[in-house]
Amino acid sequence: MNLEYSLFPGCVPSAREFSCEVSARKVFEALDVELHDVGDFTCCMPACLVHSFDYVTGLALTSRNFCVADEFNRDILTLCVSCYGNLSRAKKLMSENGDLRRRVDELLAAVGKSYGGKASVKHSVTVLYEDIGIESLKKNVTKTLKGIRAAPFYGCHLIRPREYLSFDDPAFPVKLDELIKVTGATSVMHRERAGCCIGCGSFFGEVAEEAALRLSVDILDSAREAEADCVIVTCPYCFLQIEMGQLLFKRRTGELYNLPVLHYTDLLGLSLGIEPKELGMDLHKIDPTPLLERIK
Amino acid sequence: MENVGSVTVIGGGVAGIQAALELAKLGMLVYLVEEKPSIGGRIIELNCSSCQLEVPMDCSICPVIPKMVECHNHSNIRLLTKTHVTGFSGAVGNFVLSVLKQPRFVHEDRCTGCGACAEKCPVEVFDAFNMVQGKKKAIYFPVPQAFPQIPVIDKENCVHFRNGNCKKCSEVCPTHAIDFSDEDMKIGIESDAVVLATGLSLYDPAAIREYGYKRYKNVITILDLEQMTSIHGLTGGRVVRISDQKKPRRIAFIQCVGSRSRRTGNNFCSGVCCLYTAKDAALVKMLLPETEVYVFYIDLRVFGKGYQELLNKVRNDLGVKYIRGRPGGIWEDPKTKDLIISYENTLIRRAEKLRVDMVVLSPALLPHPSNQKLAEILGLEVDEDGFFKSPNPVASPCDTTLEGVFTCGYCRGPRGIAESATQASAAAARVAETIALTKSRRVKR
Amino acid sequence: METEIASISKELLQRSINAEKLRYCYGCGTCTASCPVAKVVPENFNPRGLLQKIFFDLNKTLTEDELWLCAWCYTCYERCPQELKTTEIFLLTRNLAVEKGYFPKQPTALIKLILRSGRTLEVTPARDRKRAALGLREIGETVSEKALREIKIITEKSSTWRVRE
Repeated sequence: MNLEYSLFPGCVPSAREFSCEVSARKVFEALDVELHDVGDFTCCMPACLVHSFDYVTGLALTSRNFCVADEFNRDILTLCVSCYGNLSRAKKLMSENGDLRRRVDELLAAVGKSYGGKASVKHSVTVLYEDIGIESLKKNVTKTLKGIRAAPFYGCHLIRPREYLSFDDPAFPVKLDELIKVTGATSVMHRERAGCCIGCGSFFGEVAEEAALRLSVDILDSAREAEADCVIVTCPYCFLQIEMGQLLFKRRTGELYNLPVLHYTDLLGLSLGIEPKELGMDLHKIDPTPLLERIK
Repeated sequence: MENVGSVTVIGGGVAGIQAALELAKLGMLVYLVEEKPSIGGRIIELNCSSCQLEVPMDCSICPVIPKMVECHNHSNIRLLTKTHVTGFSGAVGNFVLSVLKQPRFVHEDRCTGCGACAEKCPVEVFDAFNMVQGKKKAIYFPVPQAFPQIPVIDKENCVHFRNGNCKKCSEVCPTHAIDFSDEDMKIGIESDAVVLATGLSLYDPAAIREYGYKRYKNVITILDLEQMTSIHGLTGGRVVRISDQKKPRRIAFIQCVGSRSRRTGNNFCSGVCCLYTAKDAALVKMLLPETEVYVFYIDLRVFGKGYQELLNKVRNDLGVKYIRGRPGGIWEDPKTKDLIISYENTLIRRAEKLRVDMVVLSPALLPHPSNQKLAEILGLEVDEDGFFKSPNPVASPCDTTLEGVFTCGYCRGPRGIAESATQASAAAARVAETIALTKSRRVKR
Repeated sequence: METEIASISKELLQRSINAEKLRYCYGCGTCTASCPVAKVVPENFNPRGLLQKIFFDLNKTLTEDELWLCAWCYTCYERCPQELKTTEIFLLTRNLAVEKGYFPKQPTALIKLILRSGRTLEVTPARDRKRAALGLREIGETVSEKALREIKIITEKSSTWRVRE
């Protein structure tokens, strides 16, 4: 495998939730994929926050990251689906809307840049599925996770909207289920599999935070109804929401769901024979030990 | 008696049959061209239920069946079933149509419609979405009230055509009507005028993936329901869930599936669904009085005599629950195969979920897909939705952009059964005018 | 140059909102039916209603918090039968709100953080040390000097961000 990417970690893995980056780096290392750090990346400047203040400036700030990426001959690999969605959106708008592109380029010119749009945007899950492939992953699996029931939580921006990104079918996605099956685990059908955790909207005030909590409870209920042993996420935001949701819920009601939340790279890493500690799983707030015991 | 003129009517549904009869009675020789093995169009695919309803309704089949018989027997009408148009030339008064009649493998003049062949046929073809036939044989009657009452062989599934090893139908036929050597027949027809009555087709709601049609067993279309409630149907007229054959305790109808939508490209309103959904919701409620029936709608469009009153009765007296809100998505409970509908009750501004046993979708009704091809062959225009265009919808509504070719029924735009029949009579009048005019032109010369 | 970009921006927004064919909405409720936020806090957020409010009473809507509750999940966008770009419309309307001077508290604080550090979350020295302990690269309290400078230059011309200061 001779794959190399410019790593775009995103704000949450950089500042708040480290297990995502630890896990991804370990797994890609095991699969012989090189992740390069790029010093001049900034926050992806999400549309729901930054572009909401100023559409054109926001788009220029996001596009700036593309200009940085284009200095190297590599595609971008994001760890967070919000980054994936936001960057994909920017790429689409810049390639299709000449008017916007002109205005953005005016702003970028002030810092000596202009949008080229060479680098493609990928996410750890899309790289695993598309660039590496199911068959290749299967060959690397040394420990089957048979008997583990995993509830996939796709993450909004991995699959929507079709207009900006086309990884999987928004109405009935299947690729994360396939990736879960590669590890030997069972992927369960649950009603919130293609739902939203409101991670992106959760920092907009008290009502938004309350909404996020209620929604993570709904997601947990959904996984529990399907008798899942864990929830598999593709995004550190979703990870935070579904973990923190359990803790906040406990604080409010005394009840703990105790449903371990795993990054997909955690699940894959375990099946590749990597130790949980190396995947950063000891950083998880919901103790995955009972799950890990079953795998042994 | 010599015929006054000759006309080809393309399409043997309600409109086509009405037009053919009007023209035949006016003394024309009528070729009624129908691509299916039976005339009757959509009508004969529907249930016969209106008599059971206490509310006044357009009945579908009963008034049409005697007309179908008349068509079959009238000396001025030539029925050409399993036939479609392949070529066209000439001008008004002098059209020449080339049509292709596909083989039925049964001699139409010998068959008595006894059905012995279908009984003996060893092949069963199962079509899960065909509620009436469900299991049908390789030699079958297209629909119970088929006209002509002559079976047809499904070549793809017939053992004889696969490996020559079976002749059971032929052996048991009392009149030796089975003919495996039947072939395509090319026919040329000379006509003074043409009437188009190609009717409608159903939008396939599987394209609206969030509703799960064809993925979830208990999500069906309203045509499926109509066929299910027909006494000739798979279930003998009982309404049941497909997944477990159990009686549904709660049914939801969803309107406007694929219509009024820029997303699907079918921007227009199909016009008749609000009404026939109300009828079917009422029927379900009467067949299953304990069952809760919901109808999810965006608007209710029931113009015309008696229809708002019908809707009032259905909602108030029969207790069908109407909710204004187009559902966002449907989720199937993997264990019970129940369906959970996410919707907003827009009138009280509440986003909710409803668990039901069965969902019935009212898909968009589209002009027949053959219109485009037919328009090309004939050299006239369809609009962007596939309806035949008239040069002026007020001055000459029955006309098309080609002189001597007229339209009636759904192929011109969304309309109901009674209207289609009315238009057929109008088209017949236009044909008669045209023939008289062209004849007088010829005499003058 | 600054005034030019600011006024072009306003015109672009107005055009964009009009171009998004708001009037095609017939209030079917598919958006609200699909919305995760409306599902859990229905009293505070209703996308169908919000869209109609933008159409009927734009000025009042610009002052409301409801505008900032859309979580940007694109479910309504995918499902709208009239292909209204709901998510993008809310975004554009937020632009108008900010231009008029309505700055919601928390998002504004985050914008300030971005201007200061280039990120939406703080990396304190303690957190950076934790990163190092896990074998991850230390990334500092802000993004690179160069990046931070470029952010400042790009945002300088934006009327909305300057006004807030």
